[in-house]
Amino acid sequence: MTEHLSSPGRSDRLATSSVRALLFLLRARAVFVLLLLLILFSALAPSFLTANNLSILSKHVAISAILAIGMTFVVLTGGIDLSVGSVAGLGGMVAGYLLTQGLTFGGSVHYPGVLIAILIALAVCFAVGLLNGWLVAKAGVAPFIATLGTLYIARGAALLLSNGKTFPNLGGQAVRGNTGFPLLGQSFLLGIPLPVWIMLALFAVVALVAAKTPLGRHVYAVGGNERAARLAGIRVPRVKLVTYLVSSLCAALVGLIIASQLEAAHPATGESFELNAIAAVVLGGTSLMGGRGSVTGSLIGAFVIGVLSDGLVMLGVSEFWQMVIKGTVIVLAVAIDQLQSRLQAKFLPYLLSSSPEDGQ
Amino acid sequence: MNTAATEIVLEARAITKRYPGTIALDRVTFRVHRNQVNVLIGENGAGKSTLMRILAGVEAADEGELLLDGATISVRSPREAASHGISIVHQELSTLPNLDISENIFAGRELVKAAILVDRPAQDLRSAAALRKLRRPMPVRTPAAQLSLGCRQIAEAARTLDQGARILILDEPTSALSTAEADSLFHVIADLKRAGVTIIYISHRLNELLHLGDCFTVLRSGRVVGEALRAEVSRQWIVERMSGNAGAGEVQTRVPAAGAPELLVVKGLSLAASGTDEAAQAPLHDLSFTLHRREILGVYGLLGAGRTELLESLAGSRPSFAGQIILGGKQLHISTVADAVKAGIVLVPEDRQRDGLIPEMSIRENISLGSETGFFLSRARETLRVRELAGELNIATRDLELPVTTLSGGNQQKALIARCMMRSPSLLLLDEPTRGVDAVAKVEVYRILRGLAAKGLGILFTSSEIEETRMLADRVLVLCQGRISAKFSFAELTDETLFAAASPAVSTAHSSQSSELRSHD
Amino acid sequence: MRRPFHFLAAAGTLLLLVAGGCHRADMSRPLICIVVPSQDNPFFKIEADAASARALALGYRVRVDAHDDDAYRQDNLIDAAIASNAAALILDNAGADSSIAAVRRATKAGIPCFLIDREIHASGIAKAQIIADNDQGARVVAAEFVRAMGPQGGEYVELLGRESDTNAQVRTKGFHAVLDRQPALKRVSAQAANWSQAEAFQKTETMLQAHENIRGIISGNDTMALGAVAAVKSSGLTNILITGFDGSPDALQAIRSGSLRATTLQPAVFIARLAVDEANQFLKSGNTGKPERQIVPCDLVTQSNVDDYTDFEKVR
Repeated sequence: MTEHLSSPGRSDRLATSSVRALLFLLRARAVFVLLLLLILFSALAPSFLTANNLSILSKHVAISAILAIGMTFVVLTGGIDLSVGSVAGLGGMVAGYLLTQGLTFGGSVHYPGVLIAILIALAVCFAVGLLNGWLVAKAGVAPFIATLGTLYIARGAALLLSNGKTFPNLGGQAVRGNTGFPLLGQSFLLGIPLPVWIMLALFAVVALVAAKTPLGRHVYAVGGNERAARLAGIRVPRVKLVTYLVSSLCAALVGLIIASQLEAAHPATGESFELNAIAAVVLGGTSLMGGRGSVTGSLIGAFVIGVLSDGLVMLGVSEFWQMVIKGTVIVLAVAIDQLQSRLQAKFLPYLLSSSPEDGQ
Repeated sequence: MNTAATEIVLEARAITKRYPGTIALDRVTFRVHRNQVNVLIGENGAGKSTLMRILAGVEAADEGELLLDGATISVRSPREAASHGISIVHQELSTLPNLDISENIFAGRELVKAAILVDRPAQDLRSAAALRKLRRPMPVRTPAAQLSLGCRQIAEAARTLDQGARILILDEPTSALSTAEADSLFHVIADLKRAGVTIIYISHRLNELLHLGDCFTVLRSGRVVGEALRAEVSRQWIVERMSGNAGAGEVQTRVPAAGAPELLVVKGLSLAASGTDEAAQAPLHDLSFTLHRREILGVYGLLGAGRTELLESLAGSRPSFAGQIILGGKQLHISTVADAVKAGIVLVPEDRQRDGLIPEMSIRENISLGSETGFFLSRARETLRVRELAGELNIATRDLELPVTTLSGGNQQKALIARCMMRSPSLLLLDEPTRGVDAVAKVEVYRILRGLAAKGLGILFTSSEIEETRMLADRVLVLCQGRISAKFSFAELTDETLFAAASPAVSTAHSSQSSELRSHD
Repeated sequence: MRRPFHFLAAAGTLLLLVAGGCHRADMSRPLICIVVPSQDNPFFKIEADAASARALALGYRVRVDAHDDDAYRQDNLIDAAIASNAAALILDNAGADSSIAAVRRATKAGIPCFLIDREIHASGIAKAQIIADNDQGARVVAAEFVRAMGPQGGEYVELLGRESDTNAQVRTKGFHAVLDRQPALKRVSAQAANWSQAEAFQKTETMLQAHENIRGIISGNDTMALGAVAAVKSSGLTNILITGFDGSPDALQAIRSGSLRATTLQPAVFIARLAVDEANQFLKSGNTGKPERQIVPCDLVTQSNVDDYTDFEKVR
């Protein structure tokens, strides 16, 4: 066995870079799907490729993208968070309650400011995330079951808050000093809707954490091999807890954005959002078994789903066909993913052992 | 080789099986004699289980062919193997605990009446008949969960018998059994033989093998190194072939570690047995020993002796133990892996696929896992340190950014050692340090470990291989059923004494220097 | 040993929740079960509240449940009503065909059924079927839409309810009975937004991008109409005319502010009270004194008469 670590030969370098290129292409296939869809819809719907429409499109995508970004960490650890849709509903309802009903103490009603209301809504959803994390990491409940439970709990809590009613007119009143909530979902910065900025900011932070911090590394490690991660001294429960907290906070933001866009908080908001988020994560190439995937992939996955549904609406395709098409795309994408990872597993060792030095 | 006495029923001819990075079987020819107990011997990683999986249709060979009664057969699935009359009783029992005996015997091939209904009476009748044939009648409606391990094996044997098995593979059947249960199993084997069944028996318990076996085949590092009938076989014959006398020349002479300061003192370490299924843990009884700096201490024992439990207690992953652990003069309180790592104790686990590697990650990430500090990773600093260690441990790869799965077994093991060394430990624990590592890489791992010890590290490793224990250890503890049954220095070590001290059935008649130490028996 | 603690904590939490969720009631009074599609939709919520308030006032015990438009769940709720020996059942059912068997079973068990809001495709089983006239409501709101669009007409889009829902189909049919006779009106797109505000918001935004000459949006219910209002506002467009259906409080508010042109009010409160009154009458005398099928017309609400209405009820 020769020492070739420090001085790789020319052919080695070539082989390595071709392996890298192959891996890159496998990972980037969602981008190709996205490009394909963009080209397709631009050709079919004339107003699709306008700045205005792309702005609105990305605002729509932001909703499922933010959920998907939060969900990615959970899925990377091998878990799943079914509660995000309900948590989004709950977040919007808490803010709606505070802005329209206020808080009663000392016999009088106080209306918290918009920022406070948002922070309280985030805190409530943080608590749900804490519950999810505790159930999964400490109590050992299977993630599917734990978050299915909190899905119901959060939805029920949202309904209890208003007794099933909608909180309308979240614009606030100047006399109460709580105006400005609609800015969150409706304002623009440099011509781009604020929700899109929020999505980009979250993406940047989460992608940075995933790639550049020990926490991110540990998330991948826990998903890749939980036993090994524990034996390597990683505090597995804490890592899992953090992932559920991130997911719940992202879900809360989504709920707040929707409530702000509609200027109304409806307790049923977010129903089945979790499925869109999971679909985006999976489309982005993240394995439901954990350990493999990326936040970038989830963002692209969310764009694929968003472009698909908006494009089909623009073309006037019926709801039923939209569902069939969306389902087909998801199933195909994941089937291709499986095929490719099998090919990759098969191909890679041979590619590497074909070089003469590796015969040990 | 005398084959005239008996007839060959099954022959695996020139079988080769490769896994990424290693050759598990290298042109192995294995002959099975009709109506005999055919013993297959070899250490862990010698290729026994791979060969059996190929015979039973669980895996496919890369090259070679199988001949049954002289005709080539294809065995691509367990079902196909069963149709040829070949069945296997696995090392890990495959009884379904929630079903009763009769349901287990017919699991997956239920008898039906009226096309859809399970015919329980017929199943019960045939189950009872099979058990009678084994001379072990049991109530057939007893849930399997209530059965002892021995009885479960009888149920499995009955299942294979009812299937009409002509060739029955028993893969380390006694490894989890008590002496009495093992005895009863031997009677079953005798009965099966009488019923016309050919047995392939895998074990590394010499006493058993010499007692039961008719024909012997020894595997070492994926090759057949010996084949003989009972009459030609002695204990010496087996040991020589299993451990590979050729290897004896490579054993380095060792500088006695005496004089080096004590590093680890363990006093009265005990662990309660628990669990019945996957989480099973063997008990440990009052273990006390010391380890010096620059010393390599080996712990030898058979499966289930408590080797892994001992290491995992020290490494913090079995926090329920009792006893004192003193490292470098300081008493430790270890309840998590993180505690142990902080104190300077790190473990290279036995099963590196299951407990060691993160397959999705690169070599670099695997090596630095758990050693990250601060809020942001410093790629440059990390790469530098990993590069340095990879060079020191001679990890052969052209690029540390490739997936860890591209490494050969030996290099994966070195990567895990590198992970441990990232934490600058004072005590390195290794559970079966060269399991699934080919012969050349084994020697290299030994050389590396010796080098690390020379730099002041204390090393504690466990092994179920005599050769490894002999080649690596300065001193050896022998574990037997959770107790230290003997302690040897390097100079005192012989293969015979090691075997004897590790085997629970044998209690007398071995070397004098060890018997005085066997105070707990 | 922390297990007993865990168990106690879990048991305690559960007990607390159950105690908190229970309503106390005088068990000697006869029970009226009210089953509606959902409790998180203002329409059904107010409908249930109105029925419940009237029943309580008449001296009954009340239980309100929601079947979430799930015929199987409705079946279970009706079984529960039979098991608790209810005196009468007020039901907003889960499907015109899929509910027939359940209503028949309740009737056979001696529980008179009074259907509100939605009919079943069978007669002689329920004691009464009191429904709002969705077809007539759709026609009046469509006529208002035509009037508001003016003689020059133009392009419009339609927001559809859940396409599997009978009312969604009746409404869109009613709309088109009027709209399709106007050659100046051109429907350029129709999308299902499943009665949801958030979904209507996104789909309207997208449709506005696809078709820049849209002048009107006709919606199958108020929630979707309000989603469309928000979408139009966020696109910065004006002069897009939107109509709803149902007459929800939020829609009335939007009509007052001018962002919604019109809606049609289903007299849900009236229907609910009527059903409870007829149930009471039936329990007292064995007869409702009315035909089984009673159809109540809907009212068109525009800015001119919006102050006459509140919470699905005409107050003036």
